[in-house]
Amino acid sequence: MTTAKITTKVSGLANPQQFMAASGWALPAAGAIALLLFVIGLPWGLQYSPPDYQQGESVRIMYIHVPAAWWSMGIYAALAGSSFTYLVWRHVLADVAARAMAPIGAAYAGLCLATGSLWGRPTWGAWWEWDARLTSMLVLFLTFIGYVALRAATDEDERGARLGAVLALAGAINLPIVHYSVEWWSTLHQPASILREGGSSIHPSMIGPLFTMAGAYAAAFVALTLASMRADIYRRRTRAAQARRARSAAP
Amino acid sequence: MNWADPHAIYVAPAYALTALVFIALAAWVFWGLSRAEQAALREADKEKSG
Repeated sequence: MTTAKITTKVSGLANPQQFMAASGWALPAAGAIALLLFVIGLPWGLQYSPPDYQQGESVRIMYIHVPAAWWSMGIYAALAGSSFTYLVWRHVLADVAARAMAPIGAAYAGLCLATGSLWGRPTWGAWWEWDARLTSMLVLFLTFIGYVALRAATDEDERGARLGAVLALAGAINLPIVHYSVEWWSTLHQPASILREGGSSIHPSMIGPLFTMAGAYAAAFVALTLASMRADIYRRRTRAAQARRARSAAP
Repeated sequence: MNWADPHAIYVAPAYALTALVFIALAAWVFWGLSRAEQAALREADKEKSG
């Protein structure tokens, strides 16, 4: 496929009708992949992977905590990207996508904080530390919550979309802070174990369940976002139809 | 998994919470989708009939 054809196909998805057609099959496909990966990954991580020589059984929390951390950052990057697209090109679907992603990102970031706390207690001896990584992740969670609250508080679609996009772009400054916090400051949280110079430092037996769960979280995010976007498009269609009826009924 | 391990009391709630969050998220999103789809269909019917 040529670049021009790919560009045309991607631009075509900005059309809500084409998006509804494409998401009609992509949503069940992503849902099925998520379900399959959860069915494999959860028992693999919880039951069949080996305990760590230092952390013991609590290492199993890593399989649900690390993907939540990765994808909450990934979702925020996608939210910022969609917001930028909306602000520059005014693609309504970009705003629909941003609005759909935010609560899912908030749930992933909240899950990252909660499971991190449950891992920290047996490993560090503390539920919470005002460590640079933990604090910047808390800020990310609060930014997601702020975005959701802002969109819920602004009834007007266009004004809410603009304000939300500005907030999302301003909050994106926190992403490099979350990522590099373990390098810039002396933190209790350990530095990167997989994506680092010199290759992964975790045992190969732990890579399988970790990546399976990361795939499950990603597929679940895609399925939930598509479902949420479809719901938003239906709501917009309903409002448009109601407005048309009100206009035609007016004397 | 050795359930007799003292760390198991932290692992079990972490997995239970994760399962709960995903179930709640899916239920909320798909319930919203179903409601929105039904409302759009009703509105389309009203437009057709009137």
